[in-house]
Amino acid sequence: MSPAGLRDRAAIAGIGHTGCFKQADVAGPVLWLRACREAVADAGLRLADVDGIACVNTDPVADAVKPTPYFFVEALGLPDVRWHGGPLGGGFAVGALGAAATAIATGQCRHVLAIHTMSRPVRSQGIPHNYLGADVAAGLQAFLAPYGFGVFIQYIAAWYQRLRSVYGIRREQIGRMVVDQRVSASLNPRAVMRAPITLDDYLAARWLAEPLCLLDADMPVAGAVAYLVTSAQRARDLRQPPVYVAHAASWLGPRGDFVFHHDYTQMFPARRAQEFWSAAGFGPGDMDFAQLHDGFSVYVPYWLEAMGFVDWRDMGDFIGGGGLARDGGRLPTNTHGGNLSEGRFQGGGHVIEAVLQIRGQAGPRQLARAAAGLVTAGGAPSLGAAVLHR
Amino acid sequence: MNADGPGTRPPRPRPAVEPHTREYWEGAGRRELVLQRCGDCRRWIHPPQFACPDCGSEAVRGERARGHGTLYSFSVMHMTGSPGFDTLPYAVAIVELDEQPGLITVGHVLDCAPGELRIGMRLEVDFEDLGDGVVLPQWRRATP
Repeated sequence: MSPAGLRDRAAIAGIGHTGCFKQADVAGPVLWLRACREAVADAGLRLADVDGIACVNTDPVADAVKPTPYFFVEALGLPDVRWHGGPLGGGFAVGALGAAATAIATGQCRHVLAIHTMSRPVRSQGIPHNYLGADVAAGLQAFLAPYGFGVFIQYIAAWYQRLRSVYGIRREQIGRMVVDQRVSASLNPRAVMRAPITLDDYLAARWLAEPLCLLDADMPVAGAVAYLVTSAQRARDLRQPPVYVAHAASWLGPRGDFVFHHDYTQMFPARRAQEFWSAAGFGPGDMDFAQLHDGFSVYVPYWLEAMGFVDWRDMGDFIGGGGLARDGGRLPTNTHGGNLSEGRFQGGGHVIEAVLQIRGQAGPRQLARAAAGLVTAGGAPSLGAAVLHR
Repeated sequence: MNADGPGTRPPRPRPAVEPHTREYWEGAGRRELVLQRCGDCRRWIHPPQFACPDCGSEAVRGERARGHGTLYSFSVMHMTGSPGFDTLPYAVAIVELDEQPGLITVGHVLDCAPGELRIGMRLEVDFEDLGDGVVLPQWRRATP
């Protein structure tokens, strides 16, 4: 990719976030529309200005109502959408940002609404992500479900187990990060998990899929986020300070599953990160903060290593020593509480938090220096990353 | 584990036999670990594909593997919800086969409790008969 690529040609001009609901009192699509209207209003635009839609459909809930571009053009009354797109997984909410920025940079349209929505599973569904098929498992699940290996968390637990074995990462080190993120969540009114926890609480939490415990897993919520993406030039004339997209990438891993990988210590090849930083014109050392996908706690060290922040051999000490803490950490990370404590948004909340930090609008969570940050989403099959800056 | 029938716990899922996985499951029925292999570049492929991901050859077909491997990783499930798996905890093993680095398969180590599993331990294939002609490849500690 040419270094000129996307660099600073698009910007986030508006954001909308419904908040995270364990139990929403309105239907999911009502939340989706609220996030869209909020993002457009935040930018100081009108809905009629929207001529691009990027929406993501990665909700893990089996019978969730899924958003489509048709829904948005109908329900928001958008007669003039010139472009639509969006990743299938594509790093989830960060992939949607990348798709939107690409459409803007290539002149497909002027104002893209990028939307990411989540539903909360109802209890009768049992475990979310579960293999819910009937008596006969087909496709890849033929090799998994007969062994009771159809629940997503089991796969990530096996990755973590391998990491522990190869690099000696300890649970109390990961626990320090989980505790620090909860401290940040206590300053985030949108977070669903705001009560303080201690490292002892973490170590005493019940197992889900060992070595992952309850506090290593994100909290399912209903809600929606939206970002209004436009050209850097137009963004400068709008209501909010522009947040520029230095680069956004949407990687596919070597497989669509988390099981049959050849290396459980590599989320994706490091050469992708080198290309990424080069295209962005920033390096890891330039980041004032990072919002790293934490659908499970252990995604974070994988991202730290893959993006060139921390070597594996230093990882346990870095995380365990508070290197990610919002207050005093070398790389303040998930300053809103992350998926673990704000709620499961597959990276959508991470984008919103990055924008708030860069604008200087993060309230009691505001970092002293937040000129540039990294946002990531996804895991081995599908990953997205973006550098945002003022 | 196989409490079938209406009003009882769900049954343990059976594998669907599809055209490109038939040799694997028929091999298991003979208590052989039959994996797909490229007839041209000789790469082993699992789970089965429709063509070789390395050389593009469509001449992929089943071939008996030795059935020896190493415990690559594992996880220990503490939640109910998987159909047919109500007895907790139980471990699922990720096994790297000797045939080729990165050639991964999944199963249970039948003669190990979850607490006895150690990454790097040597394993050999075994088979579990689920009845009705369904046989699953499984694993046990390798005999020295």
